Amino acid sequence: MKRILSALDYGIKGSLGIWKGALIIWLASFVFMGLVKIPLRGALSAGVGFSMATERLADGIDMEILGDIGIDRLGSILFTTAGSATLASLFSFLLNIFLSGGVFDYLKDTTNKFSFPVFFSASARNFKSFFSIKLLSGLLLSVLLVFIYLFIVLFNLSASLYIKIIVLALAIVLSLLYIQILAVTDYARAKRALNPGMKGTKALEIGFKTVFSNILPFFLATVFVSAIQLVVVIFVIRGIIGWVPRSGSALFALFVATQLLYLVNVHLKIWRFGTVTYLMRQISVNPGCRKKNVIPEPCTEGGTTE
Amino acid sequence: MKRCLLILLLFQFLADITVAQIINPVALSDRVTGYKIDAVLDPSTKIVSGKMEAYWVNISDDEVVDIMMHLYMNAFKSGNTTMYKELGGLPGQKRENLGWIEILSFTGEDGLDLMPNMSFISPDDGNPNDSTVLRVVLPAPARPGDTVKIYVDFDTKLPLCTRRTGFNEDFFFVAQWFPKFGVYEPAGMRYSDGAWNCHQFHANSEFYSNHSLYEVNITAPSEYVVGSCGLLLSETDDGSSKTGRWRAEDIVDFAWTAWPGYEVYSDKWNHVNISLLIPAKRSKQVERQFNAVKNGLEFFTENVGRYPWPYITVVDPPTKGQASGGMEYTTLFTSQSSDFMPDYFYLPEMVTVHEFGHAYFMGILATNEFEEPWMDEGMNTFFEQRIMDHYWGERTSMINHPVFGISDKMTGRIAYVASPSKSFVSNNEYSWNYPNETYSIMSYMKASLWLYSLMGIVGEDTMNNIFREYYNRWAFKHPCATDFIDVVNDVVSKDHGDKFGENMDWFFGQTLYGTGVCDYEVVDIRNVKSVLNPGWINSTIFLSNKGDMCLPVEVLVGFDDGTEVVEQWDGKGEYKELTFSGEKKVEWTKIDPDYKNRLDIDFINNSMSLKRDKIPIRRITDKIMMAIQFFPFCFLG
Repeated sequence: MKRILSALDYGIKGSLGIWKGALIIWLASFVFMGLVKIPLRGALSAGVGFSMATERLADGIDMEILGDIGIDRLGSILFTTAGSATLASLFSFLLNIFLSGGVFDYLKDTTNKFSFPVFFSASARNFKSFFSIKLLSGLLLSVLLVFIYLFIVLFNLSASLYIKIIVLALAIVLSLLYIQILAVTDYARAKRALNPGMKGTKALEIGFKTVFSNILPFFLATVFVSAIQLVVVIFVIRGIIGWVPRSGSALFALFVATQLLYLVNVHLKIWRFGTVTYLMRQISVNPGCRKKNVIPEPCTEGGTTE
Repeated sequence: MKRCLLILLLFQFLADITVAQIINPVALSDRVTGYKIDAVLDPSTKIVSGKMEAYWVNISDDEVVDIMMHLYMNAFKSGNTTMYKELGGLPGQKRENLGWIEILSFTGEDGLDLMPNMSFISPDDGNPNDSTVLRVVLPAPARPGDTVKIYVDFDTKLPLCTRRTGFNEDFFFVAQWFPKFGVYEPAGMRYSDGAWNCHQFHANSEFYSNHSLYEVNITAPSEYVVGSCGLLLSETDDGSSKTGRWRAEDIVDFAWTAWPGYEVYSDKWNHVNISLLIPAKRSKQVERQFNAVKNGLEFFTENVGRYPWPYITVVDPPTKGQASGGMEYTTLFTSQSSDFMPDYFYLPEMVTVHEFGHAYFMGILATNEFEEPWMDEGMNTFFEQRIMDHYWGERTSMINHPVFGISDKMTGRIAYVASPSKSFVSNNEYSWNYPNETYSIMSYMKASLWLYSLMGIVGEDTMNNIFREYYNRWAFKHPCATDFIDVVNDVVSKDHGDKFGENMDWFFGQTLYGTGVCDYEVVDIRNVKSVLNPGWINSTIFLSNKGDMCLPVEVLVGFDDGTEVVEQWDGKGEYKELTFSGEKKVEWTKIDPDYKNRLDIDFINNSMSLKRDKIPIRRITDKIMMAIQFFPFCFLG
């Protein structure tokens, strides 16, 4: 438990120490989302012109009014928006991978002062490996999410208590697995950041072995930070999406609030990265304290020892 | 005198053939037809074997040489029937999944074999492969007041569940299953000559029948749960099969269902016992269904008329019987749902309210669904949307989610506005003649929209008065469009005098019989400083009628000092200017500010403000951005 608390402590300090990096992540996301928002806003504004029918949008989306923009026009707006959203999400995904290279590099030793050249050079150095790690784990996480969703649906569909219990148990197991895969992903990236010559797939392999050999600390630390992240997400769903600002200042407040929450989420994520990085280093240095048959990973070609 | 004699004869006959009233204290209709059927379901062969004794009374002044009957089930016989031709064929269907009805014997009152007198006719399209209308030449013409009695043995092979009827594994929904009389319409009732109104089964059409008395004995395996349009009077069970004795009075059709998986729930609203047959796994939806039926009963009772039967049966078919969902049989109807139905999605409520409403528009007010489908579907959609909005919220009556809401009324208008075919045809068309998928857009959506527009013109109170009068005048009869228009003219004249002209024919000429669209627009607002009177401003508002209809609308004008003025525009002419002079500027204008004219195909151009409100669009785009920004980031590590 002490080690988990130390890891959380290390992570939170790392997260706060890299606030400039967090701002860069936020800024990148902001710019990419702007690429979706600005054309969409322009198209919708052109669609309604100087009409007062927008009054009916005061309480939220009014499909009757949006429909009157014209199915063809609305269709092309939605098609364009979906296209630009997909592109923006893709670039955002790549940029996130890129920037997380700098973040993990910083987190391997938080006593160093944050520097932009080091941050970006580490981002570039880690990109290829991080890409493979993120791609593989992202696929796995997506599959798990789909199955968790399906089990939840099955739970609601089923009338039999027996099936309900089985389905619920499966959903819980998959959710736990989901958390653990998150830890594996973080571990692999932390590992790769420490060993610049290591391939992403190798780092992922080591991540699976180590995290599943030391389930408890990784799980508890990850679930703790993820739970806080989840609270933020629930707050966003319940509070922000349901909030209907009616004045310019309220709208600006909504905008600021959402961006602040996004920034908070970035920090929470970095906290998780830092926590896992700390645990990785601890377990690699002294593997026997958790499980006697775990052998410290060998250094890979050109890698540094820990 | 002759008419009186006929009526006396009819009552005498009714007194003779019907046992004492069981369901209602008095007969609600003339009961021109009646049926006694013994039906046995064989789940293995999917065949219902029937022995039927039926009568038809000639209430016309004509000597009628034949009778005509619907054999609807023959529509499922092959890919060459009129229904399947209209649907584009029947590719790949196995024979065991087809449906048909076979007449085994057909005799008259004196035991005379009428089989040689039978022939299939196709009055609508002449299709020789369609056998959904049976003509039987009578041995002697039926004179005015005569009763024709027939005895028919038949086998009905049910199709794999499709178009409101059939089987799927052990599920059975048995509709359109017995030989049913067409409607003999006396001269002047609809057409100038008396004739049978008996159309073929089409892809886009429903039904038309007389209010009848039904006494039906249904035999099914003991483990089956059976529900029907009738009231269960008694049931016997020999251990392997059970026979229920059902009776229904004054309804236009008789359908029934049998499936071992139903759970039966009961509830009550005033005098009406409500039974719900629903799959066990949908037990969470029971209250939702009852609530919908009760709301329908309350709203219709208040605004149209009393629901006259003491019972109603709601069937929520299982997933494998979905094709029988969403259909009406007056005292029984099928809803539409799924095993997993989110609380915020009111589809089951909407379908239940709609199908219940058909107890009025089609059941009590038995219009001809073949020839004037708007009179049942359009009117009923209008009431369905009103009920959904009234009880489930004006913006949320279809989906009520914190992130997104939409009302039932909105979905109907969106479908109409989006349809590229909305001007192809009028509402005054036979159901099977609607081209290019326009049947539902016209019969359901457009009719509902112009009924809303009519309500916008005459007011909600008058609209309710119209439907109360329509009910009072035409309950348990067969009204047609002109009968409804007469009611509208009478009630509007009574409530408003000549405010809207001599009558409302101008409205129906454009909406019911016309093919045009309605589209008003505020083109521009100009404020010009007066040269002659310093400090004065001459304001002009330019309005345009871009559509084909001329319906009266209000124009609300707002000034920069916060005052408002209401102007009336009769909608005539393509163009109109409103001018104002004074010390204040016109700041905004709204045509039809309360969106009462739901026929208008573009609400956006109905208003204009010189001060543009950017906030709603900014809010929508900000939230979309937030969703894209947030969620992938949070969930994918």
